[in-house]
Amino acid sequence: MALQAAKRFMWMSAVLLAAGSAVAQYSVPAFKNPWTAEQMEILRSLSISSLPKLRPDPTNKYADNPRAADFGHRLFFDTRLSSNGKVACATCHEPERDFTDGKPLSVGVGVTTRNAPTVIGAAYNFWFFWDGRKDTLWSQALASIENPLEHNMTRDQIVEVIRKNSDLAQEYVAIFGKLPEAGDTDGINRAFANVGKAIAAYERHLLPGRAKFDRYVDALAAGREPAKADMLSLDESEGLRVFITDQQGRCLRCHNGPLFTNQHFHNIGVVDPEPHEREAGRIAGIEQARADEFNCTGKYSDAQPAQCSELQHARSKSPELMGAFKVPTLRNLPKTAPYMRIGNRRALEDVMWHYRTLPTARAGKSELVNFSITGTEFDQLEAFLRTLEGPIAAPAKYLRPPGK
Amino acid sequence: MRLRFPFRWRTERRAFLVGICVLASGAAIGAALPVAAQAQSSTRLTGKFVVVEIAGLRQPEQLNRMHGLDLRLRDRGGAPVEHADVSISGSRKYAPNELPTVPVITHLGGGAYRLEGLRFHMAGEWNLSLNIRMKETSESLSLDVVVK
Repeated sequence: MALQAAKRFMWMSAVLLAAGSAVAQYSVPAFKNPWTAEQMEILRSLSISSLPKLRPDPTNKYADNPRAADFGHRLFFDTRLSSNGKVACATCHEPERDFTDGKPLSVGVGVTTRNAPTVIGAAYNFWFFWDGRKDTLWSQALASIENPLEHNMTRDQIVEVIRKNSDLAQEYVAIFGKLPEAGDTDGINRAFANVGKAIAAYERHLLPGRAKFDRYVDALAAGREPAKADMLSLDESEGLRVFITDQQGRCLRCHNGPLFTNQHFHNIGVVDPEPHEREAGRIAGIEQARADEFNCTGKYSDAQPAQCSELQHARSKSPELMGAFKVPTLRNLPKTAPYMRIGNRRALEDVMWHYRTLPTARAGKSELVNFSITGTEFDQLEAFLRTLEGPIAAPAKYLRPPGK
Repeated sequence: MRLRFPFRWRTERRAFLVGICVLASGAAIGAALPVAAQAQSSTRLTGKFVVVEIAGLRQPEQLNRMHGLDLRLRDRGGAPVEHADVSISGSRKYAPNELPTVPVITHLGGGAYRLEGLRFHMAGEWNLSLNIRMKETSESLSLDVVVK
């Protein structure tokens, strides 16, 4: 009996000792999460971990076809798809510049009127081009090919380039079937659409990776102290606070979600390239998208009409769409300068200046109003935005020209 | 001396495992509750002439989710309202921003209507206005929605 009591005492002692040491571990001064529960909810919504898996694209039945993606990769870097033989998609979307070109206005066959946005994460977009005149990733590529200032090619010429180059022709036929005869307008349109669908299949692999900001938020969300390298500095943290505080930065209104864009169009008074020009922006872009033969409901799309809800329900008549342009992602900003649709802001500091000076729109009315942000806080906002720079989550072979 | 486990392991293990299961179920139910509360989705709007039941609307609503709602229209006497011309508009409270989409509402019969194409692109407080034109009268009903 006494022996049994002694054994039980030893067991209990062991258990208490273990519990005591566990408590002691937790009594070390713990990291205190500086954000409230409500703020954490916002931060989690911005983390790349909240980005859902890319959904199938109903408009493109080749969207997730690996061979189409490889073919699209080849086309993306192929200068034969331009009238002067010098321009490829990669001319304005260079992998080493996070798929932009570093120029204020992109230069194809001629000088364009637009700054090249990044392709990283573009597969998540609802609309394409700054004015949203395209509603599918694949038809965006087609418009650039036919633009006289970009690739300057006709769809007939593109089909001929593929036909005359056996490396392209063999791949095309293996994926899409035989090439159309010259003069077969519908067949050529379909082949042209297939070229865009292959390029889109490639672009779907170019996704944003985890940035310092994501690692910081994910650690906090898991109840852990962020690793030293992921800890936001005081300036970065204050910038983040301004960013998510609606009464101060109001940034979240347009730059929300894990891609930091609400996928909509807003007028922020970016001055038009030519003083006499008054660009209509989205109010014209949506009409072009609706009339586009390569849109979601068109005959070259693989979607059923019911799958085209963005196009069918897009607002088109609102005065706020006059002079409004697409909200770009804020991820990977350091390598994607200059900024704004006309590249008139050379550095992030200049972007901050835009929001401090609130220029008047030439077309429509700017939505920007005075911000309750001090000069120091603007600097801190900029510091925070730099924490959104991350790697490109893509197979390594897709970040360089094919065969290199 | 060989230490022996002080409990009758075979019998008490069962109780231990049952306890763990009960705890796990409790945690699961606890975790599920907020979701269930958020998904609670029947809203009633009572007007002068018509009562509208809305199914599918979340409070708070999710940002940038394209979705549809089911509406059921009855008159104040409880009879289904058929062939009404129903439309919806919405804007952010205290701000000039309209809905990014133009939802379409179709009549299904039996007082039922289907709304398609609703999406909110900005967080905060929104006000939706349901405009109902019937044979002899018309009415607008207002609904506040919080978007997160």
